[in-house]
Parts: sequence; structure tokens; C-alpha cells
Amino acid sequence: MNDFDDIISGAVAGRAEHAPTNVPDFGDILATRQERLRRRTVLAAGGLVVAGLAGIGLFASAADESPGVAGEPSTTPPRFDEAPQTTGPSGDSGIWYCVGRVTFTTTPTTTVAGTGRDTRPNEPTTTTSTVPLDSAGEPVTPTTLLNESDSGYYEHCRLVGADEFSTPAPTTTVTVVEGTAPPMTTTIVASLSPEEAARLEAEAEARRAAAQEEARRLAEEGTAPPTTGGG
Amino acid sequence: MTSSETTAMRATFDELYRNKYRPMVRLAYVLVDTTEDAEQVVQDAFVAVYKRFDSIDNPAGYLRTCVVNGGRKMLRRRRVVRRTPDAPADPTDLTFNHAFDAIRRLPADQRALVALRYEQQLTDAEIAATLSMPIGTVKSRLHRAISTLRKEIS
Repeated sequence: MNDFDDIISGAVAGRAEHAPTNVPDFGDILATRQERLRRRTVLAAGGLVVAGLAGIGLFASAADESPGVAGEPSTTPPRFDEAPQTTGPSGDSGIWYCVGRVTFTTTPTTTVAGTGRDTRPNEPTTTTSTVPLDSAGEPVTPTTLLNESDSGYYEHCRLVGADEFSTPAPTTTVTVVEGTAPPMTTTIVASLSPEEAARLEAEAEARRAAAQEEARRLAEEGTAPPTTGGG
Repeated sequence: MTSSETTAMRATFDELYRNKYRPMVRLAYVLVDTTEDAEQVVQDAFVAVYKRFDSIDNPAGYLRTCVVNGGRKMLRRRRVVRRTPDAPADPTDLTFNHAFDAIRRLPADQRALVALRYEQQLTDAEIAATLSMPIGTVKSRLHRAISTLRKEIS
């Protein structure tokens, strides 16, 4: 060793002299490590649970924003901001026209047949209940029964009172829920002529087309489409 | 392999712990800068040896490698966290040592070589076995480290 090595050795030894000299019990060291490992495991498991719950929450909220199934309550506002429209015959057969969330409430002996198109976005148009209509919009045969399970969001819905096919006369109530307004139960009050039904239907079609166009435009711009109504 | 290592190899873990804890803390204290870090490195190394004690041929050598690797890892982590070079030690400190301050500023690998050579008094071959590197690499890096220190100190 030369002088320089002595200098380095001295420096290192001088440093090492200040090293701690106590020798802890190895059992304590092991216990500390195991406790640390256990805590990390618990934290990791907790993190996984939290992440899983957050994922489920995100999934659930995404499901809420997507169109639901007819008859299920909606937690998001509907796409239309205009007042719900209900019109139709009272007790008699005829065409009832309504826009919005529709709840069918019928007495057990009531037979209500009709057509309803569920036109929520991103969901294939479905007919929840149909009855063949002639050119005047009148039922050809009473083939289908509308009941509570058919309730749902309808952009337009034509119902044909079926008292002519059953007795006593139907006491159908249509409940329309729009947005955050309290549920409004509307008893069908007026009959609707085929011409008027066609006009309302055309208006609804125009609204639907405008909404689709708007959604398409927003999608092209990369903006998320607006939260749509629906059940 | 030194004779003390051979003895330690045959010894039980308790004997290894009793005989080697303090020397390993001294080595770790040269490698890292704080008492807490040195103790943590050594304790982690002993836990690693404890888990594999029956299957290790040379527990003392394995322990030393664990300590050196733990110290280098801690230095690397510390540098990554701070993203800045080590701050120079305070020259007004009574324990301040210019030579060791120069050692502190060496890269972690070279600092480990210097610690093994001058604190543990290992030969080039023993250092090569501890760090799992060719003996030629040990010689060249040690030469580079000593040249740097010589320049710094003079």
C-alpha cells in the first residue's frame, strides 16, 4: 500500500467508525418486516377493492346514461324539453297520442291494445305492443294487450282503446314523466283524428331527425353526445 | 473466500448474524450516508439470507453481495428521487473528511468498489465474486475510481 492508499483507507475507516454498533434482535427485525409486508398486503387489497368499486360505479353510471329498457325508471333527463303531450280518447276506442315516459295502468278487466315505438337513441326501434291498424288508424283485430310491463319511454305512441273488444270500458291512465318534473298522470281526454295524429307524428319524426343530426354533428366534432332521455 | 467466511458458512444463522452484523453495518455505512439507511440495508440483507440460508453455499458472501447491492440500489433510488447530485458535506462539521467527501461523490458502482477494497480489505478476485463482474472490470473501475480520488484530493 502506498501513501495514497493509506489516505483512502483512513478516510473509509474514519467514516466506518461512526457506524452504529448496536445489534438488534433478529426476531424483532423479522417481526417488523412481516408486519410491514402484512400492512402492504392489506393496503394493496384495499386498493384493489376501491379500484373495483370505482370501476363498478363507472360502469353503472355509464349504464344509467345509456338507453334503458322500457319500463325502467330513468335517472337522466329526457331529450325533449317541451311539455309532455298526451291526447286521446277518454274511455272510448280511438287513437291516443303521447310523447314521453308512459306508464300504462289498467284495471284487470281492461284490454288496451295499441302500438308504441320505443325510439330511444342507440337502441333499435322496437314495438312493444302492436295491433294491426287499417289505413284510418283503426285496429283491425285486438291482438295485443298493453299493460304495466309495456310502460316505458316512447317518443310517440299510438294507443287504441279496446273497449269495443272488452267490457267494462277501459279506465286507462297514462302517466307521463318528463325531466325532473314530478310524475304527471294524465287521463286521456280527447280523441285524435288520424290527420292530427299524422301531424304530431310528423313533428315527432322531425324532432327525432334533428336530434340524430345533432348527435351526429357532435360525434364528428369529437364532443360527447348529449345525455339523452330514455328509460 | 476468506477463512472467516468458511467458518461462517458452516455456522448457524445465529452465529452469522452475531459475527457479521456489525461489519456489514460498517460496510453499508460507507456505501450509504445515513445510519438508518445502513441499518435498513443490512437488515434487509439478513432477512434475504435467512429465507435461503439452507440453500446458500456461502452465506457470508451472499450476505455481503446483498448489502452491496442494497446500498447501490438505495443510492440509485435517492439520486432518482432528487434528480440532483449529492449535496456536498458541511466543511465546518468536525467529522468532515475531505477524502471521504471525494468518495461520496463517486458514482455508486465505484463507491462500492472502494468500500469493498478499503473497508472490507477484499482482493480483486473477492470483489469480482461479490459484484459478479469480471476481475478485469474490477481492476479497471477501481483504477478509474482511485484516479478520480487522487485528482480530487490533491
